[in-house]
Amino acid sequence: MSLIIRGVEIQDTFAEAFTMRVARLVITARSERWARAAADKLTGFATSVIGCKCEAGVERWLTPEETPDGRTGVSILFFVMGKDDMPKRLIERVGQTVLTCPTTACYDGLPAAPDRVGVGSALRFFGDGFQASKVIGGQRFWRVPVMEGEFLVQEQFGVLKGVGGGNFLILARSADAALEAAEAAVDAIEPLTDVVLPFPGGVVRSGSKVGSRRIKTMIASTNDAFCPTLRAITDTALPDGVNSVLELVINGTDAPAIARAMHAGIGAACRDGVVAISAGNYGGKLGPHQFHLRKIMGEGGA
Amino acid sequence: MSDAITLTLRAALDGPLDLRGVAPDHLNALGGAEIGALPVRYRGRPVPLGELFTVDGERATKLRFRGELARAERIGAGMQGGEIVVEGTAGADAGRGMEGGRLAITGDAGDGAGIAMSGGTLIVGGNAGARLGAAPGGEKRGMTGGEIIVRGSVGPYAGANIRRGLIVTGGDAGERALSGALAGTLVVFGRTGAGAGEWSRRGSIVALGPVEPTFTYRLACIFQPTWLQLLLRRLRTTFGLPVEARQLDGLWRRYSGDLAEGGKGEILAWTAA
Repeated sequence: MSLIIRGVEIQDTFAEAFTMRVARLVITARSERWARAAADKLTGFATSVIGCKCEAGVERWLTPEETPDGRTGVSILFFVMGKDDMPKRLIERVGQTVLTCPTTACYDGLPAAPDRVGVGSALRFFGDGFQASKVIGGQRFWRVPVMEGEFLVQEQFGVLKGVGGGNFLILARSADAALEAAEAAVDAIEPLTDVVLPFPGGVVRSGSKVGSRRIKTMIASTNDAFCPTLRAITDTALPDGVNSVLELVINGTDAPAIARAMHAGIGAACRDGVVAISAGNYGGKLGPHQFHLRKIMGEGGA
Repeated sequence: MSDAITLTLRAALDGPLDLRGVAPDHLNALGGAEIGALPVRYRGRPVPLGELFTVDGERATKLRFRGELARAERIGAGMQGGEIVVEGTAGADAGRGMEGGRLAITGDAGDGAGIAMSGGTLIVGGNAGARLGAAPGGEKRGMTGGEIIVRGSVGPYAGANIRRGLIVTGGDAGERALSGALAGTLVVFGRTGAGAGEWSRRGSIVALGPVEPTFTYRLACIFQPTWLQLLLRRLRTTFGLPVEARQLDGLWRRYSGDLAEGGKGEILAWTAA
């Protein structure tokens, strides 16, 4: 039984996603300018664990009333594949991109998470013995002296099991139509909490398949079945009339959050110029989470 | 089981009464008769608690004292959990060695309140005497954890030799507050007395009112410490202390000291932005 939304076919397939580990970082600064500067750097080069060792994105902006120190802030979701990876990645990212950024402070956004990893407890050593700690409300914070003044960072950050790799593909008649639909989908997802879109602008143009046809050591290579330029020479998955495909990859704190985001994004992407919505999977053999497009769109994403 | 156990003093005390051990983590398993039979030392001799107090309630984690208890010592000493409310004044060493729970004194507290405390929260509605949260006589370390909030003023040597923890006074702090501190924090809303932080190796004195750092402290800079935003906001929201917006937005003069002990302690003196 087919599912058509505003003339766009929702294909009978599913997105296959993986269990990851997620931390939530709250970065505050004197002004939005500097919170954004730190967030941009921290989430830069954090699109895929394949090449970046982590995936990250801005979850939402925080008002001064929502932050621990009453300043402007930003909430970032930060993903790695295994719990053991988290401290190393957080320490290097926070150390290089937040500690260095004027006026910022960095706090744990998952205070109730039972699994904790040390971040401030390692970064404090930058203080070369001049650092000091304070326990406020049962949480320890490190004051690291820097040339500007002090960098304040929480000692430990909570880590939860999250989900990475939720996705859907926008199959469009033209590159312009694909981009327009993808932008609408991003705009629909961005207000949602508990999810991030780790790729540039929230969109991927280079979806990948596992492995390579030619080079055995490659982990991933272009998803030729969805490349319009290869339609004539590969086992294409593209319906007639499709000339461009863009993908949205969604990471979230849990599966329902991803389902909600997919529902919102797909709904926004169903517009003129789009032929079908599909999804990337590995036959259901690799990832424990499956997001069936028709179920999500038929049941409201719950 | 009751919501609370209420101990009401039968007659005015005419000598010192030692109430150590009369704490919720002990009483919560006892019936009213058993509570009344608990031995306490009054004027140096053991007497049943029930001779001095009427007992109302049993098997509760909240304990309430009623009556004039300025001569009652060590209320809540060593308590590990639960809650004690003293409706009025408490004598010396209230909350001494406290490890957890909440001890609230609506009136004044005598000398040595919270001495050697390691956890929990001690709240004093009035003033507190000397050596609040300090080290016991002859020992090197004062409180090692927990929070003490005094809405009035505190006597001399508050937080002397403190190792960790937070002491807040809504009024003035007597002389030599936080002297000999190894770490920890003292917040003074009123005037900070002379000799504050003498011989301290670390630790922070946060002075919202007038303070004159001793000569072994040296001005380092004027800045906005982010951690104070967290602390002061918490004092305002959790304890209702009168932190003003101009104090949150203000600048702080940082004096490093005691330079005779390495200078890693500090006095942060609020100054208008």
